[in-house]
Amino acid sequence: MATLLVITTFLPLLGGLVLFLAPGLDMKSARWIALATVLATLAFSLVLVANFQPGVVTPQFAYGPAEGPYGLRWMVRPDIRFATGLDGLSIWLYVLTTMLMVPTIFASWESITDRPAMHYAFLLAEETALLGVFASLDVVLFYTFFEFSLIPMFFLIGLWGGPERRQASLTFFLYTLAGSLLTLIGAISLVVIHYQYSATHVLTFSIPELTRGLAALDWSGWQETADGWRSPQVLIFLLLFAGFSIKVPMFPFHTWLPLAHVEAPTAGSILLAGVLLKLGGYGLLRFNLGMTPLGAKFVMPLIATLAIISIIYGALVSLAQTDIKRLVAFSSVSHMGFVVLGMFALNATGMDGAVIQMVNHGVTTGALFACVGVIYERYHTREMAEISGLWDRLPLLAFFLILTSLGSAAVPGLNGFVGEFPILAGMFQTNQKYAILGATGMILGAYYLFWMLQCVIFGPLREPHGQGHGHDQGAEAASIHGPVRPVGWHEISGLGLLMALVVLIGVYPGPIFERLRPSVKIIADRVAPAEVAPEQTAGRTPPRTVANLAP
Amino acid sequence: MSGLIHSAWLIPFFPLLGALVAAAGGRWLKELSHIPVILGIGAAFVVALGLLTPAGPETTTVVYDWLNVGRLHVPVEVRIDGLTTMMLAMVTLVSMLVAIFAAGYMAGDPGYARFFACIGLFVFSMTGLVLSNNYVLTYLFWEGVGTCSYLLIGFWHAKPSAADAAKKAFLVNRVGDCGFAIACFLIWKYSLNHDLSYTVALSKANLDQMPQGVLLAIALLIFWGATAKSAQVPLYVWLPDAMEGPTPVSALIHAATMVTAGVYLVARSAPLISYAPGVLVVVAATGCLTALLSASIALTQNDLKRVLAYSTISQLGYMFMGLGAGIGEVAQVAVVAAMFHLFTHAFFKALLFLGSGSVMHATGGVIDMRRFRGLRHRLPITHWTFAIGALALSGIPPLAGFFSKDDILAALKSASHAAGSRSWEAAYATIYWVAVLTAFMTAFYTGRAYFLTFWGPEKLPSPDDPEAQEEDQAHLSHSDPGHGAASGPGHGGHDVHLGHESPPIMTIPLILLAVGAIVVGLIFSPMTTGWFDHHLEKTFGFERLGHFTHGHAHDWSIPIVGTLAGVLGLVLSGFMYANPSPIPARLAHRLRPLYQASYNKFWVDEFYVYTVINPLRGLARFFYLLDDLLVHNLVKATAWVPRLFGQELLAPLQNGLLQYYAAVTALGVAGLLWILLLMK
Repeated sequence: MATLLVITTFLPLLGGLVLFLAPGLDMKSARWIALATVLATLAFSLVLVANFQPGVVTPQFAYGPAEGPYGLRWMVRPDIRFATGLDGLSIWLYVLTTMLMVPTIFASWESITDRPAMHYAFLLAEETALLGVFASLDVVLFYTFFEFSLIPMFFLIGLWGGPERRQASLTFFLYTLAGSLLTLIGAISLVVIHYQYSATHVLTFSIPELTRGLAALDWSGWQETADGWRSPQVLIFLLLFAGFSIKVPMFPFHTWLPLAHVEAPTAGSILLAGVLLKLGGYGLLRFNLGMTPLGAKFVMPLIATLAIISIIYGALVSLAQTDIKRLVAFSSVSHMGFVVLGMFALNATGMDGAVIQMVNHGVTTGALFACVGVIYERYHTREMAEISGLWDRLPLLAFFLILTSLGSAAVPGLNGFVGEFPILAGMFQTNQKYAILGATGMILGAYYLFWMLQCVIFGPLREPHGQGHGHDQGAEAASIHGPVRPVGWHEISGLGLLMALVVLIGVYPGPIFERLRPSVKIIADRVAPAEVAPEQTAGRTPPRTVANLAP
Repeated sequence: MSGLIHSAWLIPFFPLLGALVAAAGGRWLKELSHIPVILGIGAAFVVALGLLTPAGPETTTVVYDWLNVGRLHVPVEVRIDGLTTMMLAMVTLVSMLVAIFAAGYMAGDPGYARFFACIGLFVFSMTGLVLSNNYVLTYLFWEGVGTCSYLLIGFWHAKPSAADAAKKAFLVNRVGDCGFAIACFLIWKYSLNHDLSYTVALSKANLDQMPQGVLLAIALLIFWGATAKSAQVPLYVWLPDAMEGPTPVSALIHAATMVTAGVYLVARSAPLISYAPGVLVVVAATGCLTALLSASIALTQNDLKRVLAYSTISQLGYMFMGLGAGIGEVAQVAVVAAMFHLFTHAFFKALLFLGSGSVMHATGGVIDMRRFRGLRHRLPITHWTFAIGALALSGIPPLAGFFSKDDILAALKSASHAAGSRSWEAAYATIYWVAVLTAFMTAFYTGRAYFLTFWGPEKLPSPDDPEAQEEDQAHLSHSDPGHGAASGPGHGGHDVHLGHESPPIMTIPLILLAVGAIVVGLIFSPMTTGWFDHHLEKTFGFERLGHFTHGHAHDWSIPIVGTLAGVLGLVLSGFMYANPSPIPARLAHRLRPLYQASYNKFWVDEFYVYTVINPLRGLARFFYLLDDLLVHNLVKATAWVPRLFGQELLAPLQNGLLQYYAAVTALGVAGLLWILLLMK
């Protein structure tokens, strides 16, 4: 099974390589090769899910014994390993990626005619990068994939994007790179701390071992001598947070997002919002909450406040948009605010909800971007003022867009609710004020989505000039068979898959939570009772101050 | 019978199945799409009837585990007690009749299958709501009902007004739902074992251990949620607009589903709310204000459906007055009275709405009462059934409305003696008299609508009516002519034969509902058989509600006062409106400010636009402006820093002079050596 995980992770890259080596390949064969690769990856990942043991805490599908060390040795000294595996936190994000690739490929199906082989090659390379991040069990490997994910996306935006694509791709690249460098410093300092102060003095880059080892350290001395903002866990927390919060993105680090989205091709947007943002959320959970729980506890009010601002601000700015794609882009800020809010509820309820919400957001926002792509392909505009009443022209699109919006607005019985409700409940348990403020996001979220539906789907049919035939008298019959292409099979299958997920996750989330729960529980336990369990860790290592770290 | 209890999930399942069949097979079923849905609701009705006898306060059964997150555990579990089974039987029966009516009414509509799929889904949500045994599951269906109403109000999607009304309904309901969600969080946080099921949350042990402040907050928040769903002040504004949907949808929303949900939830939570008596006064006062406000708006509206819509709000206000009267030992009687009014109201309000649909069928979709008159000869069945509905709504004995209204008045009167504190007793006494006044107004506007529609010289709408022109003007500005036909029934062929009675598929449901409006009061009233209150006593937690320990004599002044108010209202309206007379116009002129206020619905919608919507929009634009500045400057600056670094600092160093490179190299080596020496 461990080998299957590696194969699944690198299969897309292999497909991408094939396409890359044959850049002159025509559109038809290129897209079929890409689709075949993506479907095979999806099938493999589903095999992994089927074999995933629900009650197990340790990473699964990893080389090596259950307690580590995992993976194949890559460098002898320092002990950096090629270690891959999945646990409850990563398995669903892993599968989300393989699933979202299907509508991603279908979004490019007709619209990409320029250098198609290259386009699909980059998409597939991006998939491997994303899968790699979720499957990594080693800090260096994680970071490699984390940064590698920027490169294909950079080219996807820069080569197949809109008119301002160059600026957008550069901004996206530099902004996120700058943040992740700070994250790297944070991660390395954790490795060093673990090396210096753990009882065994092991220099390990393994994420599970590091998490365990750091939790076993006695931080009380540090917390006392350097209270507040200068305590090591808080400082490292902030370093880690720098990169991840840009990725999420959280207010006020969200500003790269709308630009990148508006300029990116539909496929790029789906992956960007659907999965790339999740790298930030995943990192927060894995590193910030997993490795610096004391820091997380201390900074929690600040982060929760930022999350609430993200929720409300993102929703309000969405409401002011006239461009549908921008509206969806800003809605991501709002929805990802919920994710962060749930994580910083610092209890299992909120964190469970946050992980599911990441999956949900990937599904619904992916679907929203795919729908926007369907509209853009036909009308070459995303201005809501220019189109309305598309229900009459594209009834299937109306169905998809309404169902997705309902899911995204967290209507219970659909997927969004399964995430949002536990997030708010969890936060309510920790801090009622934050939860009540966050709950206003439910109203505002529904507001911009239903306003968008009213503009685009409802109302009398109106199309931009040149497409369809206006609405002159007598042209009615002709326009129905006009040049506007009905929703095609590839769009139906891509969106249909997502719709099935919207309903399935909403109605029967049990199996997901069941596999997620054990992994979240350890993190939650580490954050929540950190102050009540000193007797477990007391006296293991002598407390030292942060100043001693310097040499 | 126990087998049937475990099959209670079939009640929501059948309508859902019908909806799915209609949705998936609509393409092939076409004009037969109503069959699976009507059969589904019918089957649900049969099961619901079967559950009436085995229902008991402790009967619950778990279907499957839905949410199990951290400490939040929500199974799909159903409760089959008195309250639930009563609601189920009523909801499925009325919905079935409405659906049958709709099969005739919606004939020829291009969205026929979609319509019935949504109806099935609506009934699914509503039955699920009353069946569920925990707050979060109730919340699921609570929002589900809201979603279905969104889809159905916006059914004629090309009509901008319908799209607007649908969005408004959903959003206003969301504002209420948000409060309900917070109530759920509170219950979850403070309940024993974090258990949200009614079995635990409403148990005595649990309520006793909750802090008083929390109970108060929960009770207020639940009521806040109910004010949206059941259209009370301040969140009633969505309901009058909701008539943009097809008329059967109005009948469904106003009678059987949706608006009854809020009343149901408050009744369900009565054991909890009784711990916070202050909230009961708030409930009663809100109901009272709503009833009075909406009744006074209904007095002057020209749109028949709008009159009925405001009357629904007013009657819901009545129900909340009843619920709010449940203080001290009145509690049980009051809750039963409110639920009984909900029960009888469902029959006559569905009847009145479907009657107005039948009128629209005859007038080609026109519902403005200024454009038709004297239809009683042309539409005999509609006329007689509508008259029965009007009498029932006015509370004339022995029709259904009389009994339930009398029960609520009696509860209010008892509360004014039993509330405990002097000021509360005075409050209940005031509410009682306002309720009597409202009963008079109700009879008056109901009579007005009835006489204006069915009496006087016969007149059918024609395109030359001045009101028609007004409407067209408004329509042309943002509606396309191609879809105008879809904005009402009577499209296509119907226009040819205006002014005819509806086909039997529509009149038979009217007759059945009329029979219901006549008899359900007599059959079930506490005054006669007492079946209704005996059944409701089988509800979980209701036995703990206060009830009269010693025999309670019925105060005969109450039915007399109530009936007098109703008769007076009807007689007065008959005097003013049965034949064209100059009195109403003169009166409107004399009381111009009051008339204007009522005609313009007290400008509540405008008030919300200026105080909530516009500031929110403004804030959104302001934030966007702010963000735009940030995007284009902050981000640019970020991207510009490395470039600056390169251009200003690094680029000059790469000057291509070999000597310069050599000098730098030498300097570097010297520096390194110096450091090495120092470190020795």
